[in-house]
Amino acid sequence: MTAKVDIIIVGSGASGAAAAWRLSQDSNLSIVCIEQGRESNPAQYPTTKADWERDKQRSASFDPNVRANKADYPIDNSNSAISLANFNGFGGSTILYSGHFPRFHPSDFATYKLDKVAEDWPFDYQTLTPYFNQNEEMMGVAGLVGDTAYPEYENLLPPVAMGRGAKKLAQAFNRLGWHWWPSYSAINTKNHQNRPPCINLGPCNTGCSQGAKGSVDITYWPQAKLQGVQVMTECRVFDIPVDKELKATGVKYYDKHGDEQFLAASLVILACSGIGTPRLLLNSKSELFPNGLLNNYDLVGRNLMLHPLAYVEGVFDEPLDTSIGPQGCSIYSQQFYETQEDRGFKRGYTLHVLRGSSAVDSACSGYITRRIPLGKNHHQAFSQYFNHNMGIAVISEDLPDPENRIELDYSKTDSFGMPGIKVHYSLHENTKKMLEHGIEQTKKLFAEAGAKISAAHYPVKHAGWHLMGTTKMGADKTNSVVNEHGQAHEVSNLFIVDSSVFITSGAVNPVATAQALTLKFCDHISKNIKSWVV
Amino acid sequence: MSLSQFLDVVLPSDTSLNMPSATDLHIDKAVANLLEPQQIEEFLFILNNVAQEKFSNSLSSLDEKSYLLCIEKAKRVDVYLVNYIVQQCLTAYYTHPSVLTKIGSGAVPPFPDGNSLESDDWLLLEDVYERGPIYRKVI
Ligand SMILES: Cc1cc2nc3c(=O)[nH]c(=O)nc-3n(C[C@H](O)[C@H](O)[C@H](O)COP(=O)(O)OP(=O)(O)OC[C@H]3O[C@@H](n4cnc5c(N)ncnc54)[C@H](O)[C@@H]3O)c2cc1C
Repeated sequence: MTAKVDIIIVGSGASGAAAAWRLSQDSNLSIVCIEQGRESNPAQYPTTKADWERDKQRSASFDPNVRANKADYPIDNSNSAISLANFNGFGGSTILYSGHFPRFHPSDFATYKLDKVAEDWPFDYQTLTPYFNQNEEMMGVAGLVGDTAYPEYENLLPPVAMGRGAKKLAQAFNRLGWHWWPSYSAINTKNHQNRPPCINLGPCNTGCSQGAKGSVDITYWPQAKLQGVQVMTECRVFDIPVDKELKATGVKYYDKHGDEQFLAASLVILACSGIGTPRLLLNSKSELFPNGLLNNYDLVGRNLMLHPLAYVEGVFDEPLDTSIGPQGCSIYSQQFYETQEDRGFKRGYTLHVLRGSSAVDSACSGYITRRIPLGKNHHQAFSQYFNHNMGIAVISEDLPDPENRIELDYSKTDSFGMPGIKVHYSLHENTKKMLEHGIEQTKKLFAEAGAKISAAHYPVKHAGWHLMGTTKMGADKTNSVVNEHGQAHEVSNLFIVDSSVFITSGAVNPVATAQALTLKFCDHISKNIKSWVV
Repeated sequence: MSLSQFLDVVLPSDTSLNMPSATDLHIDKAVANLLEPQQIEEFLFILNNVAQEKFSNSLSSLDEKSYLLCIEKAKRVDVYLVNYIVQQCLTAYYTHPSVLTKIGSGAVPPFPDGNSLESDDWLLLEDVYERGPIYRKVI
């Protein structure tokens, strides 16, 4: 390994991959990405075997405490209403994500101006539009132009088939006069970027063995590697040393043998996720930053936003093959996205239509909720539930609150001895009202579609997979960690390019916006590269 | 009382739906792979005790209704263990290729062909389209 490189990117997930691809377009730069996890082999994903649902409960679980891989770090959720979920490996959480890929809406960038809540972003939807487009081309996003919930879209592949269950719901949406649209889905529906189309295997959340789902190991990374980026897997960065001139000198990391190493760099870019990034900063203590790097104003790790979910499930009388097709991608609704004062809460939510549950999930949830008995009536009850059920997730906008936060947990350490994290998180009154409203509307929808409600609750405990806000962006260094370019206020050659910098959360899945933001930040870095790299 | 006897009761066959019993498919072996032997022993021990206390009888001599009642009562002793074992039994059964085929879960891995979904009629969106833009403009 060279003693000094131009750029180090820490983390190879959604944002790290987009950064690597964009920055390596300058072939003069030496770029290394350091990733604590391993590379996955799609030929060995659980879905290549009939018993894939077993692995979902263990090795492919989205709960790092259950997986407990060498790359995972402990997360103490005991003081949190919601447990956090992620995947630590090459490609990051996109290996397990559903690929639901809507953008933030114009109003999401101006919540203070419009609704007097939270703060406005330093730029608007229009500014991000070219980056949204570029990202969607790279990730391969299916959908349909003309959605009345957005300004115009470009670059969409044909929509993912909605399936018979969603069609029933679409008709019900129409009868109620509510918005719905085919989901924006990072799922190939025809050959795109050398990847094949989806063949409706269904279980996207254990890794797509077909290669149709746009996880970044097969979208951005092959091109970034061709452009010269070197990836070091199974290496965990634990410290970012800073010199007296307030410049990051590089990173300290444990290599795959557990030996401590140092790699010098002109520019350090963090993309470790909304929890991994603050964890690394908090662990990087020095004389200049005794409470953790960039944390002299006690902001790092705070304002954690998670999109609390409500879940409502309906069961139709007739079989509709609901378990078939990409689980998290069919149709969605933005009927309740924007603020309407008479609802009693600010901002709004997405109705995200999910397909029916898989066989094991159906059997186990049916047992726990006593809907499917054991014994001689089991098969009859199972057959009336499986392939008849559909779920809807109410994805609520989570407003920033400094008390919702992560901190280092010195009592539980990872495989290299680095502290885990403890989560402190509770739901606002505004969010609770929003989720209750969402549950009522969803029940109305299912009733209109002719389905019986079989479950309705909030918050969904294990659904903390959208991790945002923990190193917020802004103009004032006493109230934010990075500026509008993702550049740390206090260390000018350190950038944060993941969803940690989100000022507000919107009420849609974050990756489309997070990656567009990464591309915008990296555009700025690339155009000004001489400021850091000589 | 063995694990396979337990499986016989909780997942019997259903001829009207053409579903095999867990024992027909030797699910006990798959379950044993998912669990520690002590967990199975402990579980059967709890069930047997409940049967003795509640019905003054051995588990194996109970009818289905009483047996299922014992499982319910056993949850009061160790709800985590009982639910865990039952869920592992369900997991083993519902990951068996022949069960997956019979319940209509589509192509069973290794997925040679995938599944087809009927093509959609996007004219359904006309209603939405006609109502015009709903996003909020920031002026
Ligand atoms: C089950 C599930 C379903 C989801 N579904 C959707 C969806 O449908 N749509 C959507 O938009 N989002 C979805 N998400 C969320 C989405 O996956 C994340 O928002 C996104 O991947 C975050 O990107 P990131 O680059 O910030 O972090 P990640 O993709 O998580 O990548 C961070 C990487 O950094 C590495 N890392 C962390 N710390 C260190 C360190 N100290 N040293 C070296 N490496 C380090 C990690 O190992 C990891 O690989 C889902 C997530 C999950 C878990």
